Amino acid sequence: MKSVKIQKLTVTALFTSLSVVLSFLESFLPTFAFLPPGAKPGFSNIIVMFSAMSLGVPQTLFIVCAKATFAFLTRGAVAGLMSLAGGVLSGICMLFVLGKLKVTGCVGAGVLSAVCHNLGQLLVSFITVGSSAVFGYAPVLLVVSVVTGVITGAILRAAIPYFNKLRGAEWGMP
Amino acid sequence: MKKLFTKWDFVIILICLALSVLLFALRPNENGNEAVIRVDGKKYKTVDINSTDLGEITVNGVTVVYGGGEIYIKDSSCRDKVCVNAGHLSKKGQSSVCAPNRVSVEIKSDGKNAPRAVTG
Amino acid sequence: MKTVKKLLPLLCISVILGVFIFSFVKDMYSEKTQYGFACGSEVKVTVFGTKDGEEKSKSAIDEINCLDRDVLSDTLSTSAVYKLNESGEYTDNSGELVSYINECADLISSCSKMTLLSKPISDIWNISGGGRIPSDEELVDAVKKADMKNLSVSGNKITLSNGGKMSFGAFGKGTVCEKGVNALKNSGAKGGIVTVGGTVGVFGKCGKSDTVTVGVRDPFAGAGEYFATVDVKDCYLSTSGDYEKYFEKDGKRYCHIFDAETAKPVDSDITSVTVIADGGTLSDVLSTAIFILGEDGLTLAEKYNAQCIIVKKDKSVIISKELEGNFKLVNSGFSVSAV
Repeated sequence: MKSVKIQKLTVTALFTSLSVVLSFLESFLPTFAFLPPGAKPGFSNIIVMFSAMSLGVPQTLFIVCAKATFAFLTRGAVAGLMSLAGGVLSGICMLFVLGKLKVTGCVGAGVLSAVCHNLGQLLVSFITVGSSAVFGYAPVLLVVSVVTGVITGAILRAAIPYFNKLRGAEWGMP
Repeated sequence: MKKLFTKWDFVIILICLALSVLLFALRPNENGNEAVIRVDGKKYKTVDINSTDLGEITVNGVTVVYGGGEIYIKDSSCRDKVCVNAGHLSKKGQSSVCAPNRVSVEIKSDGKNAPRAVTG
Repeated sequence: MKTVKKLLPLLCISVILGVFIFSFVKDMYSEKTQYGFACGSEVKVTVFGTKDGEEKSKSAIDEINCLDRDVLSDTLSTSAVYKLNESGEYTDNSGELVSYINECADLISSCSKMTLLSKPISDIWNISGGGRIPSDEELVDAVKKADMKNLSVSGNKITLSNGGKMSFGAFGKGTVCEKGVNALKNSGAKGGIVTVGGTVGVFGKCGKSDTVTVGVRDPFAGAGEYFATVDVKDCYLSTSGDYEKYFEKDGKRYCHIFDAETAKPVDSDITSVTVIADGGTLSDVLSTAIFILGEDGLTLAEKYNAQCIIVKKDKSVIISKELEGNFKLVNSGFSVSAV
């Protein structure tokens, strides 16, 4: 029992750094002309999703917050707030969908995660910009979320065996 | 092992795409521009210049008309009429000022790439 | 391990709180803008990198207002210039008006087409009241009245003779802009932008970039539209043009900038002149001077280490070569050459 908890702790730390590194590397990707500014594949969502299915509530939220802190330190307060809002929203959604409901597949979870992430960011930009004009982005972001969500979902499915190996399979396997 | 795809995934994707189409159809006019009317340096009113109906506001002897993507000072009680001569404003950052009546009208700029000030 | 279970949520909450507190503090120090009116124009003051930015920009606007109301205005009966014009003499105990007169008189001493006593000329043209064309006698009379010889300053005593009447119309915006910038500097702000009508004063670090991008008004387009931008720091920009205050009669445009030697509106191939200089009064005087003198005025700009942007009626633009690299054309309808 004790070893499981220590394992969880180390795996949380490992995943935290993994998600931070992924979101950092992602910022080097070129922004494509047809995508709205700031639209990213959201690879670190993969980590959050896996954590939601296997680690638990506090661990998932911790990963999300750590990522937001990193965004805050490297890209400023607004970026930090955006990452926090998007991350917490998609984290909670994933905890519910993957941790409790357990009816969707990886792809659906990926799409939901991306949608929630973007929704959180949109809310923050609505508050900081103070103009409802930012919601004009919503339709585009939804389509982008579907595309990136399918990609991250597929990657998640492919990565699950490796993740399982990484964390050791002593407690419930997804 | 977790499945890659379930019927729920299809439902989620379909709902997202449908929502996107719906929001796209319902979205406010693309330029979504707002203009601020200031009196004595303080914000008096923010108006949507893309409303299809023309709106008219008279304050301090200055009559401001907005709608259809434009805003302009139609009439003013001042002598020099610089504000009226400024004509119709439609682009972000444009402004018209009636200094004698201390009223100004400015189309909000989105801040990206826009200069911080304009000399002239 | 129970402690870990307890600590994790605590850690999450403190991270969230930390981010919020940080962004709150950052917002406290973020830029703040206030608006006001002075010198017949709108005043906009933006401060950067300081607490209580709103109060600081408000007090800068107050200083601008006081200077206009108590000293420089020629229309408000509370001002020193108004009292001087009414009685022909004025004892300036604070010495403020005397120092502004000396500064301007010094700057325009090399240009006989400029005068501080321009009110007799602008009065007969009455541009702000719709405009009229004065008779030749009126013009001759106005030239005599506007002669700088009619102004004498000894100590704190200012005297006007031969019907001379003072107006800071051509330079006042620059002077009050400088006053506003100095007020912000003294308040401890890290950076600021003060706009009085078309005169812009910039100092310190405004936002992320070291320079501030300022638009240069397009004389052929509507209000607030710019044909080019310049990236500047720690300087003042003023523009004199014939496109805002003017009247038209029989297809001819009569603008609000006059040649003091003829008392007639300047009529040349130039439509606007923007000057970038170290002082507000300096940039405002120089832009008017170069508008009147034409390209000959460029040597004047060089003398005071200022840069200029001259827009001609055929949409050709002449810029000082020091501006190359900082000057960006955004309207391709103009052709630019550097001197």
